[in-house]
Amino acid sequence: MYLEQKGCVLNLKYENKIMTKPVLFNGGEVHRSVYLDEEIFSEEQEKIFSKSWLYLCHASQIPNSGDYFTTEIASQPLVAIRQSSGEVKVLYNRCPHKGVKVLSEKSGNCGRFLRCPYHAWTFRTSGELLSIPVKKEYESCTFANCEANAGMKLVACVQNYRDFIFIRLSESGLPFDIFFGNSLSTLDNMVERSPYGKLRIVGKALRHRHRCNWKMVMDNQTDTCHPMVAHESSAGEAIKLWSETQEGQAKPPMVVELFSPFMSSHAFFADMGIRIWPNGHGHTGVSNSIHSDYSEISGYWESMIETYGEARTKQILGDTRHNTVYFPNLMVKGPIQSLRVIRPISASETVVESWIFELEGAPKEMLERTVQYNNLINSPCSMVAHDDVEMYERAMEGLKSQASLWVNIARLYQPGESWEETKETVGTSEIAMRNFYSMWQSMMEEENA
Amino acid sequence: MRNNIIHHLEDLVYLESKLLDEQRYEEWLGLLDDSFTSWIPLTHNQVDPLYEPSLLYEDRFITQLRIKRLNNSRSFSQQPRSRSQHLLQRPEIIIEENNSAANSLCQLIYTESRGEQEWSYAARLEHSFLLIGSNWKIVSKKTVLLSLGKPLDSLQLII
Repeated sequence: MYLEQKGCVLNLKYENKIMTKPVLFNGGEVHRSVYLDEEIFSEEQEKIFSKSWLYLCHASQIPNSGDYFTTEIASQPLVAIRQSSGEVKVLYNRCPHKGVKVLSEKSGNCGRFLRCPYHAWTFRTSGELLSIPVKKEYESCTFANCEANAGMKLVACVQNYRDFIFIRLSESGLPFDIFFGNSLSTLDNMVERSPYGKLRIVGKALRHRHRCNWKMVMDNQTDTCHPMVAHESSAGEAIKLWSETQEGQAKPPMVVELFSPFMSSHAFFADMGIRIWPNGHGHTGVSNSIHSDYSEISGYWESMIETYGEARTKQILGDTRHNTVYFPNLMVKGPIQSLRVIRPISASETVVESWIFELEGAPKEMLERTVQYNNLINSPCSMVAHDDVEMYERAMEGLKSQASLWVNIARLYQPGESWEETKETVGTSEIAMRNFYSMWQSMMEEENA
Repeated sequence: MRNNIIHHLEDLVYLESKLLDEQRYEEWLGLLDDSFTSWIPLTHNQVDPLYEPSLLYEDRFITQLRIKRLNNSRSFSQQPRSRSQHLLQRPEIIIEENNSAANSLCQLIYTESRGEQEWSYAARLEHSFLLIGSNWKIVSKKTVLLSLGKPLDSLQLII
């Protein structure tokens, strides 16, 4: 729509100044204010982050009754707690009395009840108010009618999908199954890569602060035309150093195996393919990916066949999806068993949190590779991430320019693009970004009830 | 004899920092044993670098790659380049019985700057050394940052 009617778009841009609802995504371009404007950021928190399904934690982090994990999502302090029934409930981490955060550790076990450290109000793990010291002093007032009487508030919607705990803060919004649809197949594939069909989170998250808008990081996850350019200094040097110093040895060091695919050509990334799903989700690496050619780890194939049989094992391990982006702020890499949560802090600040999983029942070497990939790619010390962050931060600087108001995401744009169906196309297309912004825009345009 | 070793290893720790701050990486590599590993754990009491995430865990090959990358003309995050400054407390050297292996513990304030920005890190720096022939070599280096509870900005040079 936008390429054929450029004149019309220009009018729209002009009208942006006077329209109350400006067009921020025009089909192939994103308005720079989407990345820079603090007011748009606040609106996103309310319209996108409270109404989308957001990843909170993995059930393996809280295996036993009373185990909890605290976090902050969309500025809300939250705590996920394992109940004695085995269910996971999510509470707002706030005492209904004076507002004190009840649990302050990142994780732990609270026993059978929670106790506020300020005045010793206690709560069941389900949030229900259990006791107040000298409660009779509240008897003459209308405490029964107070909000505080209800205890710690529960988050409206929680879904445990194969041990991945998702929440939706708002009571209204798309149901979980509709919101994610077939995109859940990436999580399925990661789970099935375990011979026991079970994942376990390992260690703490690497947390890397970027001075940029969170959506730049999301865009980059399906940007297949940057690796060979932005990462030439790390991936290119890895190939060179290997050929200079170690040639003749049978197997390259793991770092070379992990880095060298970044130097693959545009043609390789084009052939990889890209798939999009309704509601802003998508993934790179449909038929092939930069994770396809890792060397075999002895014993893994056999352990998989034992569980799934040969045909199914081939299917599971043959699906080597590259990056799956879940709208709005999650990225999953099945073949490497890692997950990134892109946490918006402000319009110009983002924290990227990277978690890894062990495939239960798989040889330990699988975990070693996952650990090394995560350290090398996702750490604040990562020589690969340094160049990504540099690009985001330079974009934050460059976008201040009056030269243009628009960021271009039109590579392989096709007239009349629509987003209601699952679609596959050439891997170098920026269609997944357009799919993301189409969802973003439709949520931002919704009026609050 | 033991005092000489202590003085020599103290000087070695100081020399290492100086070479790193002056970005004389080839000379620094000369101080490292072939089996060198460098580790920046992600948690304070982490014991396992292989099967748990770390901020950094690398062997000599990856360290060499890191240096090559810093010097690559398309190392975009090094345009402009970063600088660093190590501020060390006197290392505490512990020599093993046979006088051919030793460890050092040292308190460190490390500062990195780039363009208009500056970051400071308090850390505990642990070295282990081996006497190879007549030369003491650094076989491992572990840097435990004080602030592991907060998200970190890019840390680009060699701490």
